[in-house]
Amino acid sequence: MAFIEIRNLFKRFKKVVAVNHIELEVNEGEMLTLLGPSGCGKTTTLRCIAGLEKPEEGDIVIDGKPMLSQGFVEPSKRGIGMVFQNYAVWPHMKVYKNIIYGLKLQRIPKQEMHEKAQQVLELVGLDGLEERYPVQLSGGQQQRVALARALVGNPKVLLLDEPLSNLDAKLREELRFEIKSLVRRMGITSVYVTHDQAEAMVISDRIAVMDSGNVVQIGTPLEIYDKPANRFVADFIGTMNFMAGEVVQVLQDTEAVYVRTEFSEKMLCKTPSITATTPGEEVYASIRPEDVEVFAEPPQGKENLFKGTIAHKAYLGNFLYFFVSVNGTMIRVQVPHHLPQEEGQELYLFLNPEKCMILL
Amino acid sequence: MIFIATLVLLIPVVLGLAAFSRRWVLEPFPTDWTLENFRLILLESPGLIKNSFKFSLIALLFGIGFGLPAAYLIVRTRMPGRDALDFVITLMLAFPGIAVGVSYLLGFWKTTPIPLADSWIIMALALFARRLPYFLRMAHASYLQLDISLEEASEVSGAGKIRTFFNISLPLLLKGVLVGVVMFFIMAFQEISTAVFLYQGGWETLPIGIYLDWHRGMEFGIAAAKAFLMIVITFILLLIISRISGGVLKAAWGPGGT
Ligand SMILES: Nc1ncnc2c1ncn2[C@@H]1O[C@H](COP(=O)(O)OP(=O)(O)OP(=O)(O)O)[C@@H](O)[C@H]1O
Ligand SMILES: [Mg+2]
Repeated sequence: MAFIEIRNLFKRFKKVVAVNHIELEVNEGEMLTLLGPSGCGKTTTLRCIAGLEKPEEGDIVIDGKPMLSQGFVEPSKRGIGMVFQNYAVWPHMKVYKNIIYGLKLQRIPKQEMHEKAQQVLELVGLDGLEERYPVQLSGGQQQRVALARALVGNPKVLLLDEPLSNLDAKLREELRFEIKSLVRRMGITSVYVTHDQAEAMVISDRIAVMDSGNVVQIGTPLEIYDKPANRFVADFIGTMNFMAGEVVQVLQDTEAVYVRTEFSEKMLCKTPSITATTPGEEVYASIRPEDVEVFAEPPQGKENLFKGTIAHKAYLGNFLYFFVSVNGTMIRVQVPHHLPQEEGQELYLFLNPEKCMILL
Repeated sequence: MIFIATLVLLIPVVLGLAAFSRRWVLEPFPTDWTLENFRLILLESPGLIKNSFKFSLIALLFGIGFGLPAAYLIVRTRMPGRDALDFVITLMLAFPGIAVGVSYLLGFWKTTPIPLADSWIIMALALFARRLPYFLRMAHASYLQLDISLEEASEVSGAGKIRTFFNISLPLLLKGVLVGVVMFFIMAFQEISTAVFLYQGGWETLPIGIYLDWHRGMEFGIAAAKAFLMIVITFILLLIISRISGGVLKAAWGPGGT
């Protein structure tokens, strides 16, 4: 049984449905990320787990104990550590007092309390700053206080709501790895909310992608990247070329699909689709820019080979990025090496059928 | 600028001149300076000052005891019926002081089931009721400045709602609440429109005393002295407020705080 089980959770604010009957499981010791665009219900889901929102329907089971179905369990009784987006460190308490607040409530002996505080202060790299007030700390340090405060009581569950979104890009990247290794070392089951896909890819064991109150896909970062469940996921995570078309033929034994697109009569997609398709259906043949191969001369014996004209070309340091027009359809291409062709010149694109997928 | 300054400063100047003189009516400036007016107040009617403080303080205690929790329930919880409570309290704004005074006088008359009008406590009660919406506004304004996630962080850390209120909300709201409390006291201290209907012999407050002096005629100097006294007391309270918003602020937010 999973450590956190979210069953049929439904939460609305007046007419706005924030969380629409979602099912979610978080395994023990796992870091699960809720990823999705602004307003899709990530924070609301997290707050339901913390007990800061009361959902209308469904149940949340933490470590075998139902939080809703057998009477509402108050946030203070859930054994949770939480890091808020705006840090929420208490401005009238020094760093040390902020951190031992929860321990004090548990009436832990002074000596033990002090040891725990020192441990966690060291862990997050704050030792020496105990006697400062939060206003005397930088944003990154305040965030560490918030993290230390959430971790110090050895919570069963750690919840993080966009903990890095208020920090500058460099610090954000640094702290991502720090949080990940810290949480992993402590083995705390955690739920992390972000709308930053790169952050989600780095930090998560598994990602749950949300869209307008629904969980649309759950999987490891790799699974989600390689096998997005639909167009929304594919677009949200990484970049994807979507070529609108119509299914002309489905090869039953291999699940390969032929699609008629605007620029070709037959395009082969071999990556098995999550949803079954039938001839005549409108779909998107899709391929990631880095999966497109380019040739100056047409190689022999390849399907899905199309001639195009370079519309735009840009070096982005370590790779080359360009837009190729194939009979008017723009295809984004990314290659890790230089090419002699300039804008306006022609080349051949190989849309490898093994990498082409059908999305709805 | 000058116009506004005139409107404000004319009051203490005129009252001051009248309070420290004898029979200043016809001349442009008083000629006969004296402390007689103040001596009369302190000797003959110290009860007025005592009553004023007593009623206002008790009104304040009612306010802190009932007004603040009610305001908290309305602003920060989802308690059923809080909208109705909000409406009822806010409705108080619609009633002029006279209406409060007259209706309490009749509603709590000797012959009614609750003959409160017979006890001096009615004075404090009326002062409290009249300014009840003020507590709501005060709490509302303070809470708007207090980030709710500070309270939520405390709850998640294991503190219940009540502990969170005392550990987090109250210290952070203290400045706003203290300022509001002193303001409330000032308003209660100066209130006359309600009190003038409810008072009986021996319950007169300073404003009522002023009104009576004026009414009896030819007691202008004494009335002015009482008004002057009220201004001085109020001014001291205002000084306290400014000290609070300077001093307690630091205590609540730490050195170098906002
Ligand atoms: N307290 C509230 N009152 C009314 N509506 C709310 C409230 N909280 C959230 N909502 C609505 O519920 C929906 C989901 O909000 P939520 O905060 O969960 O989104 P989110 O995924 O965290 O977005 P973001 O990335 O912007 O933080 C939104 O449409 C939002 O407007
Ligand atoms: Mg959010």
